Amino acid sequence: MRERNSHERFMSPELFDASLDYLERSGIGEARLLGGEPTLHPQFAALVDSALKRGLRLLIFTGGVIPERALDKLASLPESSVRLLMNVALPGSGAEYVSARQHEVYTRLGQRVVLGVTIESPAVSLESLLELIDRFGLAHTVRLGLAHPTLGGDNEYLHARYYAEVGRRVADFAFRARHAGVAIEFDCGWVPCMFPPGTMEELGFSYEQVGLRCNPILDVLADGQVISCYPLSSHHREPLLPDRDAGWFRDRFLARQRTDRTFTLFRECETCDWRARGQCTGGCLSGSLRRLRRREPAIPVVEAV
Amino acid sequence: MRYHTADDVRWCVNRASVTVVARDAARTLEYPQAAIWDLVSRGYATERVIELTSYIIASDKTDAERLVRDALQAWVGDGLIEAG
Repeated sequence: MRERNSHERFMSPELFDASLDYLERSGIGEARLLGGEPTLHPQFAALVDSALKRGLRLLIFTGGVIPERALDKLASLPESSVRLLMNVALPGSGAEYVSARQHEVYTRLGQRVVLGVTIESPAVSLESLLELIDRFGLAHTVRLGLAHPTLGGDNEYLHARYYAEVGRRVADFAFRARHAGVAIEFDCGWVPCMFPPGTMEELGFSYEQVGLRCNPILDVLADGQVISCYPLSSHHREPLLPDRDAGWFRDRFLARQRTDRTFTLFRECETCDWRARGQCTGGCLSGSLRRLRRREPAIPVVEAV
Repeated sequence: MRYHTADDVRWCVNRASVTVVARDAARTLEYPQAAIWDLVSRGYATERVIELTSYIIASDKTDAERLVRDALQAWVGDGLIEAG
């Protein structure tokens, strides 16, 4: 919807329509709006209407700083047609004003809101999520993501050395969530070796959720370029053209990534039983590629005159 | 004499091997070639690579030299490394 790291460029209504065409010819029934903050788009309400008119469900990724007009629009929609994936401002994150606004959104949208956390630190505390779900009557689902490194970028991300600590905390949380009737959904890049032995089975986490989920998820950027995923956005892009569907893009990106898939997140992956059994692909591809070495380019020495 | 990795070659170190990718083809170097690759990629002179390899494989310099020269010849032939 809006170019990341840009305050100027929003997706045009024409490109948004072309993106909806792409979803339809790909047989995808859900339009996912990402940003930046997609609700800040000047034509947000019209874009929502055009997606719903085509019978698409909406999933909106938001940080919660939603303009009042956009919030009114979302509150007017039936619960079955729209879900908001709220990137929760956790207590202690220093974003109290965001947290206050998020609470207003919870109050207005209730069941339409799914709480999500993108974990950047091993010291993550998920305790408050269950309380929020209960207090505001939110969807009984929590989506957990790992902050992955962008290839060639300098974003904040969770270093793989902290995965085991995060896995321990998430497993603890998942037991409590199950007791509260709250399901856990995983975003991409989780790996089985993060979790204490036996907990994957005990909690019913599948390898499709944890281990095998690092594939092209396909984002259409505000400039009409399609990327495999945000962390790999600098790796390879293809323009959205009228004859290209999701299958075409997936095949294209997978072909480009075929050799890169040789690399894995950890040195230990080469002797890993999960990987040998085909239950794990070796973690986030972008993180894996950051392990790569290459010859440093020679820097010419200029003699002082 | 020294060698360096070719510009389009990338690699990563695993627990017991090195994975090398060049021109969209990946290969895995097992021990002791993985150790030789590591030394070469660090820019050590060939004589030093041979000396260190003899320690690594716990053998005399003649065995190490044969091993290192065979590896270097193969990698030069495959375009993975270049002299200089």
